[in-house]
Parts: sequence; C-alpha cells; structure tokens
Amino acid sequence: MVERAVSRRENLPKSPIVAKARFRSSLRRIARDGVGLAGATFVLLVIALVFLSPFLGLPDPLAQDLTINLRPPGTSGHPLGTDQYGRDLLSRALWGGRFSIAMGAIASLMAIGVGVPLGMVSGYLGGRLDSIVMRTTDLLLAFPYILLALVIVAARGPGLFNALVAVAITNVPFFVRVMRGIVLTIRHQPFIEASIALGATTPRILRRAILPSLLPYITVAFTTNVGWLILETSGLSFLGLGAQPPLPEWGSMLAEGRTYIGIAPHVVIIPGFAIFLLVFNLNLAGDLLRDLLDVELKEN
Amino acid sequence: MIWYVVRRILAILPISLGVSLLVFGMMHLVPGDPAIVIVGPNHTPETLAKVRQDLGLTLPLYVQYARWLSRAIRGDLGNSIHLHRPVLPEVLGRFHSSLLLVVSSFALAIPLGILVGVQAAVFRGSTIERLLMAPTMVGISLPPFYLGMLLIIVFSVKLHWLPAGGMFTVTEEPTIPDILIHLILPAVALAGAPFTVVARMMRASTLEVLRKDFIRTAQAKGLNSRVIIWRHVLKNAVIPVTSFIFLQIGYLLSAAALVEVVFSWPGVGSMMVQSILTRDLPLSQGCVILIALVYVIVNAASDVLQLALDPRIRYG
Repeated sequence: MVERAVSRRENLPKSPIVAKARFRSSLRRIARDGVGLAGATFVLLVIALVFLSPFLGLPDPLAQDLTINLRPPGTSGHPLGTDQYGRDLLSRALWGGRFSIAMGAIASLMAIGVGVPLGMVSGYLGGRLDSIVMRTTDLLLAFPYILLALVIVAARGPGLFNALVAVAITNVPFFVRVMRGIVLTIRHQPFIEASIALGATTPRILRRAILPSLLPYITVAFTTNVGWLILETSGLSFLGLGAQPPLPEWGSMLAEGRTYIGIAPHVVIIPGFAIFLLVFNLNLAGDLLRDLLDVELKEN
Repeated sequence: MIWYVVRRILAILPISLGVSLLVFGMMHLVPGDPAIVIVGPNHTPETLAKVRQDLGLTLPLYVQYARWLSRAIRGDLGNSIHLHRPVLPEVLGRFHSSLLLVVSSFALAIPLGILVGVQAAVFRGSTIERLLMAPTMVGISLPPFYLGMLLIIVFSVKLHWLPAGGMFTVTEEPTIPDILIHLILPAVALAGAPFTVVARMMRASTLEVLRKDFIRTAQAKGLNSRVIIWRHVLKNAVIPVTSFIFLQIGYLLSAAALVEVVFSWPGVGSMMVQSILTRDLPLSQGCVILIALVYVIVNAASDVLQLALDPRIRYG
C-alpha cells in the first residue's frame, strides 16, 4: 500500500523537466495525427485566402456580364466558370467564405457571450436562479434546433441579422448546460474556497477563479461549434431566410443556382463543395484541438 | 415502472404548455403591430380594428394567452393570411407527406447506421473499417440540401434514373409505386446525417461491449462469432445508443424543411418556409405547433421504449 502511494507521488509532474517532456509528447501526438494537422492547416489557409481575396485581383463578385453566363470551370479568366449572370464563381466562392466564416464565428461568439455567463452564474449561485435558467433551457431544448431557428426568423422576418440572432439563440442552451456542468464540478475545489476565504466578491471569483478554468472548454466548444453554425446559417440562407441575393453567401448561391442545376450543375456544385470542405476541415481541426487541450487539462 | 410510464406521459402536458407559450410569443416578437401582420398589407381600417378586437390586443398579456390557448386547444389556430382558409386543416393536409419522408429516412438511416457501426467495430483497424467509416467522415459535414442537389445532379440530370422533385407525376393519377420512386432521393438526402451519427455512436458502443468479460466467456465456450456479434454484442451495444437514435427524429422533423424545399416535396416543412417568406404568421405558427408536438410525443415514447428495452433501468 505504502509503496504504491510513494510510486504514485513520483509520477506527479512536479519538475519542469517532466512537464516539458509531457508537452513534447503532446506535440508529438499532434504531429502523428496527420489528418487533424492537415485539417487545421487547411482551415488557416482558407481563412488567409478568404480575407486576402480583395487583393488577389479577382473580378468583382457582383459584376454581371450576361454575354458569358453559365460558363463551365476552366474558362479562361474564370477558373471556376461563371454563374447565371456571368459573375465569376471563384471570386464569389471566396467572398462567400468571408460571409460564412464571419457568420459562423459571430453567431458562435454571440451564443458564448450569453451562454457562458449564464451557465457560470447559474452553476455557481444555484438556487432559484439556477432552476429558472435550467427550466428555460429545457423548454428551448424541447424544440428541434432548426425549428427553433425557424420560429425566431418567422417572428422577426427573414434577413442576415435575424438569421444570425436565431442561430445564436438556438445554441445558447448548449453553452449554458456545458458551462454549468463544469462549474458544478469545480465550485468546491480548494482554490475557489481559498478565494472565498480571502473575501473575494462573487463577481471577482467568477471572473478570476472560474472563468480561467473554463477557457479550454470554451475554446474547444467554439471551434467545434463554428462548423456546425456555418451549416445552420447557410441552411437558413439557402431557404431564403438569411443572406439575400445578390450577396455571395454560399447558402444563397446554392439557392440561386438551383434553377440551373440541369444545364450548368457547377453553379451548384462549387458553393456546396466550399461549405463541405470548410466544415469538414473545421471538424478535423476541432478534434485536434480537443485532443490537445485534453492533454493540457490532464496535466493541470 | 407503470408509474414511470404514467409520469412520463403526463409530463407531455407541461412541455406542450411551454411549446404553446413560445408559439404565442412569436406573435409578440413581431416587429411593429401584430394585428397588421395578421391581416396582411392589404387591409381596411375596419378589418384592422376587428382583428385587434378579435385578438384582444388591448387586454393584458395573460388574458390574451388564455384566449389564444383555449382556441388553439379547440383546433382554431386562426386563418392563413394568403390562403384565406383555417390553418389547421391546411397543415394537417401536408402532414402525411412529411411523415412519409421522415419515417422512410428513419427506416433507412437507423438500421444501416447500426449495421455499419457494428461491422466497423468488429473489423477494427482493417481496410474494411476504413471503407465503412469513410462516408461517416463526410456525412457529418455535408448539409442535407447540398447532398440532395448532388443526388439530383447524378441520378436525375446525368443518369435520368429518378425524378428530381415532387411527390408524384403531376399528369397522372398518383399511384404507390410512383410515389415510392419520387421518395427515394429525398429520403436518402435526409438520411445522411442521422446515418452518420448512429454509425459513429454504434461503432464506439460496440468497441466498448467487445471488451467485456461476457464476450470473452462466449468466445471461450466456443460460440460461433456470428452468434456472439448479432445476439450478445448487438443487444448490449444498441442500448446506450437508443436515446441518440430517437433524438434523430427531432433532426429529421426539422431538417425535412431543407430537403422538402430542394425536392419540392409537399410537406409541412416546405409549407412553413413558404409561410415565413410570405410573412403568413398564423400558418407558420400552425406548422411549428404540429412539428413541436410530434417531437414532444416522440420523445416521451422513446423514453418509455427505452425502459422496455433495458431491463436494468429501474425508475423510482
């Protein structure tokens, strides 16, 4: 018994050398996870490309030229071809990436901005506030999530901003639940009790003791959520309830191109494939980040 | 156990009340005057005043809610603004098409997902596993409306095998084989995501069960590996996945809207999207109530079914 306890003590990562070795091993694990790394690299590349698109000398994504409409990919000057109004599809796909990434990220941040504080306060204070918050999330979760977004858009009317708000609201319960659960597991830990003993106020404890412990979870939840929200917002735009034409947003490009699916399928294939590629790689990157932060969490 | 079932069924009531609150709230989330939204843009002052009085917009909110609810319970969800007909029969008239689509997708995705997940776990680490799991890597990132359009491009535009939309050939009397042919592509498009989720969870759950002692016992006593997998492993691996399987119905019910629009399928989902675009609030409310209530009932049924499936669960 005693021997085992001693050997376990020795296993604790006390010295900086051990910690360093652990960090190296987690780096090695990332390097071994080639798929995840490729996904993360791809996402960073797409973000760079998408935000550099105004400087790449591409045609205006809104400039119409009906004399060259529905040209297939490989046409000179239009590597991905043109759409029904003769607009350059490469340029539109890249500009569409701006909207999709921005919408996914903004909706996610909005959901975090509301969900994380609510979950923290609800989990830390408990009591009546906690049960009100929990019953409200129960009610919201009683709806299938796409339906909930549709309810909000139905009431507020179609449009980019309303779609963003709708998608953000449908994701608030998720963040509230996750963060509340984590707060419940850490609220009686010594470092929090120490803060209370030192006379820290509740807002200070939430900000200085609890929030830092939640950051890794928030980061992973954000990354895995962005891809999901890109699918959701593009879905609303596809239905005509989000971004409106002629904005080059992937979902509304799909909706606009649908009429020409029989004669020029590339008008549909390109924006859809862009959504797929980005979300696919975001998921890979999210898994990678989760593994990485898990390692760090174990070391704490 | 019987008490649990009774309690679970009674729990439908408060949840439905919550649903009704939210749907009632839709009317008051509308920017501006709800009465103008209800009567539409072409109204006379008289009709506007009448609608205001009918809705009781001058009364306190809880009185308005009570009136609205008592009408809704009696099946009066108001009149559609654009169809000029009562909402309830319109929505119910679309319901069977949506149900057909959702049930077909469910029947397609779940058994296939279970099969693929179990086989992937059994052949862990082999090429077979990679081949089986590759579609699930893709499936989770593929929006259903895009999958639907890809299917149209391949099977309707290029191969001319299957129709690209609608529920039956318009020029002819609808027959069952004709409807089934129109059903294939939308059902597959909608089934993609639930299939992915179930296959992944089933694989993880099967791997878990394969490590258990009773499986080693079964192997040691010389049982045929097929018997082990399909009798001992499958039964135990499915149980933790059941709740996720039923969660898929919520996804199917609401994502059906996307697929119905792609395939011009005459269901509740496409009606709802149309009603939102035309700002037909009563019709939107009717669609929401129907989908949400079906979801609430399915959830209760799934909890009860889980109890029947898993004898280990003992509820207080």
